[in-house]
Amino acid sequence: MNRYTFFAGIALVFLMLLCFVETAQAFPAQQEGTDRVATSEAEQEHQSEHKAPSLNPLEVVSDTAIWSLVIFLLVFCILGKFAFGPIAKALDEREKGIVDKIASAQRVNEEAQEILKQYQQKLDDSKAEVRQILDTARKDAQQVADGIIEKAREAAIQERNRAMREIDDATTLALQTIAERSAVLATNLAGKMIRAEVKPEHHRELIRTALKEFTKS
Amino acid sequence: MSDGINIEDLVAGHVKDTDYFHLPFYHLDIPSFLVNLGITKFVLIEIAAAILMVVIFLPMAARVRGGKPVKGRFWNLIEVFLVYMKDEVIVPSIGKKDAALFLPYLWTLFFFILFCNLGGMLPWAGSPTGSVMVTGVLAICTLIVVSATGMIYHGISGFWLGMIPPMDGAIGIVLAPFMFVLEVFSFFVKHCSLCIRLMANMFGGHLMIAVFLAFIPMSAWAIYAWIPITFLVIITSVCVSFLELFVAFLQAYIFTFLTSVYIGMAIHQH
Repeated sequence: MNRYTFFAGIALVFLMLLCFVETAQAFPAQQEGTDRVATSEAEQEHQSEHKAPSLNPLEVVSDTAIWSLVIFLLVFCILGKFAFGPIAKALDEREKGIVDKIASAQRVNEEAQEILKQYQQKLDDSKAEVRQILDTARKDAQQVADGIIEKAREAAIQERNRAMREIDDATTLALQTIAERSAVLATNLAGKMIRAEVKPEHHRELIRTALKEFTKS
Repeated sequence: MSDGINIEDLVAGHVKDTDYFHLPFYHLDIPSFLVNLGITKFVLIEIAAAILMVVIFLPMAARVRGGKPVKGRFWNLIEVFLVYMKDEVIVPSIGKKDAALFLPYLWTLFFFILFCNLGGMLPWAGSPTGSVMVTGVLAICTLIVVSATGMIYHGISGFWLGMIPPMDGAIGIVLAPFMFVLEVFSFFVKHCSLCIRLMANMFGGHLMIAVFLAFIPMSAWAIYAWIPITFLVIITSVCVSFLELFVAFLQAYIFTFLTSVYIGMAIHQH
């Protein structure tokens, strides 16, 4: 409970107490009446002491008008100075604050969009650069691979040539060996032919033996 | 009159100003020294409305100071009323530049009328705005504010002569005096209508409820008819009370709206 509520409550309670005491003093017997009919009679008697209210809505009661004017002007002065003026100012400040915050948010949003655009551009550039690097790497790798293949091919050719040379050398050696053996065999054969009469069967046997020996050797 | 019950007094006691509060089985008299000062039931209700406004709006001002948002359902509700009246009624009628000057007056007017109207919804209280004396004072205040505004913005002659609509040629010169009289008369009638409209709506609504309720004692002699009549009257009175609750807000809105329009018309003539 704040101080305004507290003081207003005290004022209202005080006013009600005043009304009650005044009425109780004027009509002490009326408070004890519990009978409905008796109360109605008391009300009627009591009412007769008051001015009967009129149903004419245009009845002129200057006191009410003066008090209404005083109350309204007092309320206007108090609230205009201490409540509605500051409230209007506060609402304007809040409105201005909201407008400023919206403008600030828009500005920040624009800046963010600009930064986003820059980052997007950088990202695109990076992607292009990566693509270029990959292309270069791929080309370099291709070149390296081609070089390796070429070298391998050359090595293979060299190895084949070396093998061919070795085969030629072996062939030559083999032929020389064959020639030397053939010469020996021919010499041996000729010697045998000279020492024996050669019949057709001997001739065939001789050749066969010679071939066998040739094969063995 | 029925069986000794004065129906007119019963009805009038509900809707008219008195020097007592008619509680069940009891009259709570207003102290005589207050009555001698002219303080009646309606004046006390107006004082209560004024105190209620002070109790509500001074803390409200503290809560929104510096443009802070208020917290709590009640304070948000009050702010809704304030902001709605400002943004939807006062500023569109008067204009953003000039509205700030009239906001305190128009807010005071709206809430004072609203609280006085709602006084009629409280049991055993009453609606001070059902009295032509109260609404007349409010209308006179509005008349003074509107006239002063017009004369400050356009000068005394500028404001009163500015009421004549622009007319070209000789016919304009001939009609100008008649139009002046007509417009000045219309100007006062408009403010008079503010007073009569509010008073008639509040008085009429509560009179209707009072008359419906008076059917209960009027039919008390009829043993078998009394129960259904009472049931119907209570149902009808509850429905009409809902209507009156709406009318209480509507009439406060209309009075403030028309005051804003008149101030706007005084500032922006033609």
